[in-house]
Amino acid sequence: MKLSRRHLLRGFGTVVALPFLESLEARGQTSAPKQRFVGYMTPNGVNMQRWNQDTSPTFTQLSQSQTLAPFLPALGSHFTMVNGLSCKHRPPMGPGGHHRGVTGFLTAATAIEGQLKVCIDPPATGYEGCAPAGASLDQVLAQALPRSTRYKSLELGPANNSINGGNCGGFPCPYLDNISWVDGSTPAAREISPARAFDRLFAGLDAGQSAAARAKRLARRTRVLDAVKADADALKPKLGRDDRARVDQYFTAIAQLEDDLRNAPPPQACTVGARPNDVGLNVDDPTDYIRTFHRILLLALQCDVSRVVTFMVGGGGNAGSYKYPRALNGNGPRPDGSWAFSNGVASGCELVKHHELSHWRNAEGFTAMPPTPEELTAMKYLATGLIDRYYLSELSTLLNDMKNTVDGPNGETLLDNTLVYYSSELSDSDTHSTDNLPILLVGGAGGALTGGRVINRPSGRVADLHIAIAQAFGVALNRFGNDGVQALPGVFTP
Amino acid sequence: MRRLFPLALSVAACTGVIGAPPPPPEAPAPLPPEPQCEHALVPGRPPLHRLTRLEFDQSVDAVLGDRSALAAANFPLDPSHAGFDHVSDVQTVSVLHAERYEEAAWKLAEALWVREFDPGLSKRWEAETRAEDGGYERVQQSCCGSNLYNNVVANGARGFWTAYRIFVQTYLDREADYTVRLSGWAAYPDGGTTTEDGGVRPLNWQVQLDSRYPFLSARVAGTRTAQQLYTATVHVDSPGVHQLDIWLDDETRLSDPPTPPVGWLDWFSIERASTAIATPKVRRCDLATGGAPCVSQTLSALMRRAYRRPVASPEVDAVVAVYDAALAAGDSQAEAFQAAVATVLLSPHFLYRVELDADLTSATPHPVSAHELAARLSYFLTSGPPDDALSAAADDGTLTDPSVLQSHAARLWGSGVMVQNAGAQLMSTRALDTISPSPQLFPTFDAPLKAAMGREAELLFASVFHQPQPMTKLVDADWSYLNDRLAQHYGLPLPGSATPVRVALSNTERGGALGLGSMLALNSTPARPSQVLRGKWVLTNLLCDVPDDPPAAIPPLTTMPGRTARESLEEHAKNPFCAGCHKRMDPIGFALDQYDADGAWRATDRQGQALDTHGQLPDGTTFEGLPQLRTALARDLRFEQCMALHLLTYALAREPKGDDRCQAESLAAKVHGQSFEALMREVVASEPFRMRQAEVQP
Repeated sequence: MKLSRRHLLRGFGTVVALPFLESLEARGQTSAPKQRFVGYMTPNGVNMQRWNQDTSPTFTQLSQSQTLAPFLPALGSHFTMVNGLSCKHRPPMGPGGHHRGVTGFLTAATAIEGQLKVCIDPPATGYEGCAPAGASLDQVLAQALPRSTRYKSLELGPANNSINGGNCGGFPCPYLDNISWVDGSTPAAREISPARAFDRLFAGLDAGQSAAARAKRLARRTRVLDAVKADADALKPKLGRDDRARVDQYFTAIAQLEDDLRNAPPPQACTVGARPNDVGLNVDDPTDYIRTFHRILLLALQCDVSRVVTFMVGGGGNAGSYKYPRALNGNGPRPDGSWAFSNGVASGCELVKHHELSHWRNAEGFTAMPPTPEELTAMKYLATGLIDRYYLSELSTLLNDMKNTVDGPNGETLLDNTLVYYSSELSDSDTHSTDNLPILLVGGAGGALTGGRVINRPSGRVADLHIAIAQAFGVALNRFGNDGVQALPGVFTP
Repeated sequence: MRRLFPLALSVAACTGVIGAPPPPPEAPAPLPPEPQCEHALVPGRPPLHRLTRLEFDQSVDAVLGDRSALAAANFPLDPSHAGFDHVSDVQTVSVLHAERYEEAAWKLAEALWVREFDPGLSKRWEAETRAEDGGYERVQQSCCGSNLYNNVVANGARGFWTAYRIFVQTYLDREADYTVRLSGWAAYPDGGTTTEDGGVRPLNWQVQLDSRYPFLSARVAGTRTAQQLYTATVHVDSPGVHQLDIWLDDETRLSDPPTPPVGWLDWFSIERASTAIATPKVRRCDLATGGAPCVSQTLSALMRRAYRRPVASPEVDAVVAVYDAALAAGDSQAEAFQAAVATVLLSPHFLYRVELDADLTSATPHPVSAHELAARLSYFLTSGPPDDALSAAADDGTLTDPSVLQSHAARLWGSGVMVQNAGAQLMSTRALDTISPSPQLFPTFDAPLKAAMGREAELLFASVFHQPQPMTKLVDADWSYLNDRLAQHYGLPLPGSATPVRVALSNTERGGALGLGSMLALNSTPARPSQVLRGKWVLTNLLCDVPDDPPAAIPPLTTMPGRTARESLEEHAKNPFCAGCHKRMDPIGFALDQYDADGAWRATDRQGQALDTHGQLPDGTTFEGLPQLRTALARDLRFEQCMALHLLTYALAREPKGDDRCQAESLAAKVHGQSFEALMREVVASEPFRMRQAEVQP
């Protein structure tokens, strides 16, 4: 008898069956910490001046960051800022800036125009035959780390840009919406609904079911999946190369599902609270959406459902862009907190969406007349900086929750064991730049990272940081993305 | 150069001279140019097509008769490319898809069993035969030790003796109404007379489920009369083990306790009617009695429809093997059948539209098979699999006859699914949620208004797309669909209706795609209209001349005191770096400047400055305001070419590439001045639609 998820939810209330992890006692005190990785992207770049003084060499203390300053008293010792790293693309970033920024966020590779393919350092012209990129950093970790959780990775994020007219230019829309890539042509599909994400994590297992009943159900499902794999295998030789790759993609997904079914640890209980309401993305204020997904993210880590999670606050670019009233209302530069110019004329800056603000040098359509063009530019730039602060404010709530969750035998917290890779797809969104990316590493990475530091690596490669992260998680990785050739030194404790 | 572009339609570059030279305003519409593509054009090769959420749901409906729309609710969103969300090139699959496909397959298989194969449920407890039952479904006594309840011979027959409460715990397989029957008699050994007035004390059979209030309470005569049958219905709200209690209730026993009553039950039963519907889609025979031939016949017919082609017996055998293996492992017939159905629904032959090349080593174009062609046609026009008539034409091969193909195309044309799906994407109404004019600046803009705008766009599209109208009416229709709310917003006479009705427009400042409030508001910032976004929308959606995203390091658009938005943009477009795109986009946006960020008419900009709605495209075309812009667009051959390219893309479900643009120009020339239906027929007749070529390894 296959029970629906809804029935299980009804039956189990707030204590839900969860994958069991060997207890720390059983593993002994010498066991390695439960390292966790969170890839976290905020869209449309940051105000680099307020972030790190435009990567100024004299920027050496976290306290010099206007954006971070409010959060340093509580969390400063957990922050590590890495400045100067770039994701280089050949040809130089032309059209498709947000597409390439998002796609390169955890792949450090280059999205190709006119098809769905991420390549390693493709030439400026003649993409055909370029070498496809491998998995993004999160997927590398998910596949390489020994399975200890029900899901190897979780991908959470916004509804796609496609919805907004269906034409993202010459670059396909999926580039704007995916930071997690199984391989160079396969984005790892995101769960866009917090309620469905909750069901996926916590409603699928029946702790009350006997081992025999579970085994019978597993056998039923794997019998079918085996037949499906055989069916797909038989089809492949009849197809050309590209179509064969598509069937392979399906085969791989089915095999991964079967692996999850067979090898997920048996359930154990974890208190997860009520199922969240299905918060949709609200273009007028994404706060509820972000908070609801933060709760899912926290539960996934707390209950050890997965140790690798990615979350995008939004897709890159205009179509998926939101307004941020909580960041901007009352925080304008005038003494009364308004967004009026010095001549008293209302600018309207607080009314527009983030993407438009992020093109801060651009005055297109701003018919409200500032006394000088520079005043409008400065105001828009300030607005983007306040949105950055808002993002961090929301994040800090999550980080504090992680800090208050004990996660190890010696009082380690969830934050101690986690590495949050926090950044945006671009540095300066106005120029669509992927140079000097704004990177904040948060947490202790299971003892591998000491916080409270600023690390300046002028002309460094972000791909080298990705290598360093993989190595900090014990995963052998020596080349990565367009130009990663060695672990960025001095970030993690060897 | 394989071919010549008669017109500049390049996607990649923003530097082309745009637009056919327009005729003087008074001249008749131009004749279509002869297509200058070099023949023979290459038909191309659609990538293996994964069903989209819409297509999955439509397919499940057609194959299983299940309209539960599981995919739309739970599958990952289908990403868009080239204007549509079913373009195969970008429909990838990862493990979340696999999870949701599997979940849907089992749910659909279970629902199919319930809907078409469920034999119902019937359980009957007879005193004679159930007396020695050892399972949990045996009859038990709730009280009091002695073995009074069972196997009592009275009036010459065995029965359950119910001086006390008896009960069974029984498995009921689903939520449903169940009928409970009991047959027996009850009486008072002492005759049942009361001491006071000599009357008979009332006596009731009571039956309850799971200790709830009795659902059966039947007055009995109170003497040892002949056996009587009692019937009642009870709703069971979840599958599982439920308890049924039966007892006799002597209403006056407490106040006056003489000899207790006795009851004798010959038998009792619980039944659930079969849920199998009278007109099954999948059931062919009685699985319970039909044996292996019935299983094979049923699955084979299911696979024929699910895979949209005849199936070979080894394929059927492989699915039957899943059924057999399940039975061998101890599954019930229902479970085994569901496993087989789930296997079919997870097969790549169902989830993908498979097309094969007989010779993988030859790139020579060849016609697709009749069944592949049937699937192309049905997914094009209905987003679902071929219906019976189309399947039959594929089976007997007549579909490859062009006239037969056209007759089916004409029959399937205009499905609501296609009008809705194509319209929502071409008119951008799926993006309504992202429209959010500033409430400070546009306090009257609200959800009902936005919804009315969405309906206006959909109905306008349907009225042109589905009707014998020239395609160009999409831009220069002199009608629209308004309710009072929207008419008031536009400053037009109220039609006197809360729901949208078709209204004739007396002037040309509304009507057509360019006057749609939804398009105008979507392509605005929350505070003001965006000339750039509006120009980009028109170029992308109506002229298929997609401007690139701005390159990196564009010189900023600056604003100066006293300068209008137009003046700022014109300054920007002087920069050669920016001119390629902005000189194409901005003039279109200027012409629409009379419409505010909420889609309403405005006389001046927010600073009170007059609006200059003149526009001039790089080719010299000039226009002022929406009325002249829509006339210019309707005369621009690129519009029909663009509609042809959209419809070709929609039909082939692949990104336009290679010769597709040239094909589109050729199709457009054949139907110049005609309707979308005429264009559809040309698309269906075209080589890219009827043919494919193998991908030969380099």
